[in-house]
Amino acid sequence: MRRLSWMLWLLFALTGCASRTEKSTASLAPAGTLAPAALGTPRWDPDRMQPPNVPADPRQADLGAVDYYLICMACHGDRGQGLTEEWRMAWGEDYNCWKSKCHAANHPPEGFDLPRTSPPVFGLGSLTSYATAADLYAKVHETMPWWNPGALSAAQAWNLTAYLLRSRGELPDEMELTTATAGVVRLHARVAPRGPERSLAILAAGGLLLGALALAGGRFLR
Amino acid sequence: MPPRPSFFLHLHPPAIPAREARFRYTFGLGGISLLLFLLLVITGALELFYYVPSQENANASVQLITYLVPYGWLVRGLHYWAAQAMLVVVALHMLRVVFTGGYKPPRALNWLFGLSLLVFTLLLDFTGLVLRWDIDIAWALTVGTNLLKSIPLAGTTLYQMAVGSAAIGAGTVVRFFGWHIFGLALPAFFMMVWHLFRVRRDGGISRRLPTKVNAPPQSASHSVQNISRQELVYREVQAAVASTVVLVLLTVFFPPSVGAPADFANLPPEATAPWFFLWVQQLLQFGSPFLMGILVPAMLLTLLAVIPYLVDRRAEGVGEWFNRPGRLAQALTTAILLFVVALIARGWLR
Repeated sequence: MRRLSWMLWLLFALTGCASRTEKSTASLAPAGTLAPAALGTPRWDPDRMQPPNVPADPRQADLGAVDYYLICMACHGDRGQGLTEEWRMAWGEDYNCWKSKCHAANHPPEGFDLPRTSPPVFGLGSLTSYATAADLYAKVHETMPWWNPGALSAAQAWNLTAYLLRSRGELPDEMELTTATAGVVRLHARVAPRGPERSLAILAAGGLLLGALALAGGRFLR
Repeated sequence: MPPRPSFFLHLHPPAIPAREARFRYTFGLGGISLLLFLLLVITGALELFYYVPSQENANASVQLITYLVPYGWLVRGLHYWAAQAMLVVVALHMLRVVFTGGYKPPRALNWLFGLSLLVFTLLLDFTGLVLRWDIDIAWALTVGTNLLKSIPLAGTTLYQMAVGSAAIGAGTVVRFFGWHIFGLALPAFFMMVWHLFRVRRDGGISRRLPTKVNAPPQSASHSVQNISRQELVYREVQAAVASTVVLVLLTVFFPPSVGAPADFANLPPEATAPWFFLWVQQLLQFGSPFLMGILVPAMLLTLLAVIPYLVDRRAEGVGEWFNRPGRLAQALTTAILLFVVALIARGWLR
């Protein structure tokens, strides 16, 4: 009887763990990842292949968006979701990368071997190995792009790091990434939006003023 | 033996004469200066939790405070604007004192304390600015510290005392950090307390001397109409609220900038001084660094310092706006301030 209860307990614990793992994996999946059955037929999606708009006075992250589009997007996805089934569907007839003209074993010189998986770079659970912008910069600069590691210039690597962090909500618009500042920018810590803080500061100042006016009014009436 | 007067009870008066307590007599400038100083101490102490005084991390930590720490922008903005406002308010306070004869005997020594507080404020603003360690301070720091070098005999020693080594480098940030907090803010605090104490000891806020026309029938101490301590505190709170609201609005709508880290090997093409030293930068165009950058400012300061000793030693006219006996002192101070403001405007417009 005791053995049976132990077995039941063990079974319960295992199924519990399994369902919890499943749940956590699902919540960590990057946006845009769908079950293959729901994806339909592969279709070239020109909207998702559009280059980013660059403002007249671009910041690091704006330039990084262009580098991402040109260098990184094919493997890491247009939404930073990684090389997902859903993303590959957007390439239409080139849906199967490893059999395509770019990444098959007989790829031309400008093509390259593609890994089976490319990790997501946006979303919860992505880039978990990096604590600061400096760590991410080092990774990008030293090991990217996949087919030609170390080919990115320092400026390109900073731009890309800034783009990734800004897209993740971890870099304020005004901040410039440099060797000096990259150490203080933390991944997995979203920047508090400035707007609500400003509003609260103005409200507090207004409250202070109203309090003073009420005090003055009270004295006047007395 | 009479009891010794309490030092602390002298810092805040129990009552002051109603006439001199009017806003249009003081404009609350002395009190606002004190409020700004206290605000600077509080916001500065908060910044200390994140600021790292090293060449590698100083700028990054300012960016951290500005962009990443919740409400860090507000703390830094209040610190910045309080520092700018303090310079203006202290200068206006000095003008008010001159125009109402507040420097006249027996307040001559306190006039010197006030002047030294003005110099402290200037130096605190400069050292605080340098702590940002961004591209905007590179020229100001280079030119400002090079001025020290131009002083005969002691120049090199003073320069090394200021920057921490033979050239601006790794030790400079921590040296300025030390100067800003312990070399300037702490002495300024004690000087300010002494300044307040002396105001009381010299007979309180400067007021009109009793004359035949306005002399009361009994003794002056009993007949002068005073406002109560409660009324005084109420007015101080009013000024504090108004000043704080202005500072918050300035911070929200005009946040202070912070640029990329300073690179002294590649100085920006244009030399720019902070606004409160633009007049010195302009002066430097007219002569040698020692003459224009050190001697002329020192001479202007000396002229102000000797006002109660050489220019106007009479007690008559105290407490009266634009009093006749103090006309020369008023003209001299106005001329000096106009000279400085005109040079700042010249630098600004260029």
